[in-house]
Amino acid sequence: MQFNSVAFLVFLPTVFLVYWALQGRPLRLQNCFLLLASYIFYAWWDWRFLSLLVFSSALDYTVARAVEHSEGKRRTWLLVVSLAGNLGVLGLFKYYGFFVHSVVRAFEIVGLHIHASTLSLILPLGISFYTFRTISYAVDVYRRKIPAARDPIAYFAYVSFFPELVAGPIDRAEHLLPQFLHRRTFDYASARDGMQQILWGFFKKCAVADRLAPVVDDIFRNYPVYQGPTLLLGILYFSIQIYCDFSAYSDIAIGVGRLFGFDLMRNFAFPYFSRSPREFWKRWHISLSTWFRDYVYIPLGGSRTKSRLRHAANLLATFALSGLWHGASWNFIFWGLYNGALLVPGALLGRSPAPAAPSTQHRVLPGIVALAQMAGTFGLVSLGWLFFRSASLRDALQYLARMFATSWAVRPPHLRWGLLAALVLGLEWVQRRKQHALQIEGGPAWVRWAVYYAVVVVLILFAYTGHVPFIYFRF
Amino acid sequence: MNKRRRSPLARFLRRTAIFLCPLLGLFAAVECVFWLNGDALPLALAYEKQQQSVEETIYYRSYFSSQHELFKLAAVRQRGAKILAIGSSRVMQLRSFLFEPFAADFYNAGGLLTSTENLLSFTKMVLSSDIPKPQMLLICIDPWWIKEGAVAQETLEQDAALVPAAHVEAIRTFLGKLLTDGLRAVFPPARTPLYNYRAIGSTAKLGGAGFRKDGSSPFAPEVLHECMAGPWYTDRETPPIIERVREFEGQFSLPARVGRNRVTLMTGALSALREAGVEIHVILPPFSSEVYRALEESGELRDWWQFYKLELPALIRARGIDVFPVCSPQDLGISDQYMWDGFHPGEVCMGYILREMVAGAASGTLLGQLDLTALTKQLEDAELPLVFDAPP
Repeated sequence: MQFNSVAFLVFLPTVFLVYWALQGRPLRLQNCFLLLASYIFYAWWDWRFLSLLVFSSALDYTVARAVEHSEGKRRTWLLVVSLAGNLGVLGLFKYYGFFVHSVVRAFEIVGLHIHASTLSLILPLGISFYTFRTISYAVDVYRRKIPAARDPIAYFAYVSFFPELVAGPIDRAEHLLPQFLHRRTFDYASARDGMQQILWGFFKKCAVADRLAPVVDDIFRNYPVYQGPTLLLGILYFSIQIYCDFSAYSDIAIGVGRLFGFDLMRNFAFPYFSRSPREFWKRWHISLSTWFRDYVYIPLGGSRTKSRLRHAANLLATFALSGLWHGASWNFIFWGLYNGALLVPGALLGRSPAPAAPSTQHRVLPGIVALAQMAGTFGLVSLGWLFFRSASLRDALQYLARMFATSWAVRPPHLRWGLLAALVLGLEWVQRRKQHALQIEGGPAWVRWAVYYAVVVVLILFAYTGHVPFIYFRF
Repeated sequence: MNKRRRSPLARFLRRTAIFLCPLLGLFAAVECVFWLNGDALPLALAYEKQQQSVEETIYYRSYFSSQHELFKLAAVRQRGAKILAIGSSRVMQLRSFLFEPFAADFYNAGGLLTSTENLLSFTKMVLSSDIPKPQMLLICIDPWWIKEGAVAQETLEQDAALVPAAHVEAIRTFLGKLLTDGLRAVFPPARTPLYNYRAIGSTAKLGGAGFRKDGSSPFAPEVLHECMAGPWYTDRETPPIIERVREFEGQFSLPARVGRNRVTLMTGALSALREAGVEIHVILPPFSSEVYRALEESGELRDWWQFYKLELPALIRARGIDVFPVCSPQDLGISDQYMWDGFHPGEVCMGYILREMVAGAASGTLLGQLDLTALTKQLEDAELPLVFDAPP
């Protein structure tokens, strides 16, 4: 089930009402209902893949219980079983075809033609997200950071919690699982804030991301016939599209979580106001960035290495894996390496770029230097998105070559949609100290409501009514 | 205690409901307008309502995609007509009263097919009994059906009235219309201009355009006004068909090559229908004289046009199927005044084509049983070159 579907418009209020009607009943019953609702939410897409979700949950529930009561090598072997199970499923469904194809191509380069059969497997929805959730749980139990869950219903409900099941945030067990073990009470302020965040999410998705999607699709599909300014516009629009699409999903997920009395982790912190690539990665897809930091980068040695080159290598390896997580193709790996490379100078020089100055946080408008830093970071990140969006690495390079080689004396089409992007960024700039752009506290109620109605009206007027799935569904 | 714990939830639900009320109220009001005017009626239901009306009733919706191919398909499915006219908009002017004594058994499904691929889909539906098998089919084939590389239009999408996103789009369009047209958008007249037909759907009510109960399509009031003022020929399409031919635009784009595979598929479909017991008569409808001359003289379009004009009829006839090719109204002894534009014949012109076909029909065919005298009388009594009945 997609958030931007009629089914969800019926599903959400129904589940919400039943869920809170069970408030006076045992917590286990409420969790049981949540688990059932989450499975229905997932099965709406394809019920057959529900078995993978149950398998992944059951594997780590069982392994974590065993790990907790084991010591020494047995403990390590149990973790290996968990990792092999989770990564095996992920590898089979997501990467098998890519690796077989890459090996065949590698042999072809040296003149050997081998025949290998690949499987045409459907990528199960959300597999990258819930697999990472269960892996982190098993590793955290192994590291004795958290105890193994005793209540299977609570654990299964945590893994499959429907708001973040298919596209994150990748909430760790340490943060979210305890919330399933304690009675939730309805909090008016939290639910109201959740509704505001949901509204903002839908605005970004339907009125901005989906509006830009056909323009971006057209430019990237037909890039050989477009001129430089249009190709540049395609990259910039995709930067806005992917932000508005993905952060919208997180906003809706977090908002829905609030309606159910859960506090989900923040996933985006206005990343396009970052003043350096390093800051950007602290604000973009935070749940994944911190996952890779804690389970890949730090175990590799992180920045605490004797050699700066090793530090740089750790960065590149982490970002390359992050790229591979996004998709089984070379352009995603290149995208990861590119973003890692943006951080390498800082690692080699042994100093980090200056963090955002507090003055910037409190000024109405950024200063010239801050603005230049933000624009520069946005430009560098956007260049990376070109590799992310292109069908292949070759397409991305040809796109880039054409952008610089063709005439710049033409006015690109579809400029008017830039106003919607400016509206989003403008509102978010004003609200940058808040959790989301519609978090309005205090002041007369009629002012708040006027703002919400204004957003709804703009949403109705500009919402793209064709169906555009969330970009991160394919990961 | 229990009541106090639930109160934040009740407060939340109440305030959410209050917030949503104006929006839902607005949506509900606009939806009411759509339903009352017939715009939001699903196509099958619209057809049913149209047929239930005792008077002549025109249907054409606004705000939602017209999807006339789906409307015609619903009509074909529900009506089970004995005689069907199918093809593109170029056949839409055939009227039921020309088919006496089978007028009540006739339906004009013009607009249902716009390509060879559509014809194949239609054939499959007939052969699989998905739609009732007609006794006789008049099929109008356009030159671009056999053009290599021509993009076939999708015909079987979902009825927009049943798609929630289409309602959002429709509400948005309506709000824009409300700003320009005011209350006329909310309360359009119940009857069409000029002919005073009953109307279902805003386009029919405001513009008088749409489909009659027999599936034929009346001309817009402004066209009829012009025709009544002086029956000269004008290419009324935008851009004019003659320009499209000269500039190689739209259906006449280059390269204009014959798609042999399409020809094979088309003739195969016609044969399959014939073998299924359907009496088939193919019409190659006329172009205006100037468009016809331009097609004849165009070097770039020559091969394609000549194949359509000469070889295609021969190929179809070779399969035992009757074909009636008409290059221009002059073939029928009439002028271009009988054409609406460069490639849409008017009602009377279609009547002349039918008369020629009936006159030459083999005995024992359903076509041969049509009342030629009544048909000739209709042609003689036609009030304008374009239409049989001038508006009152």
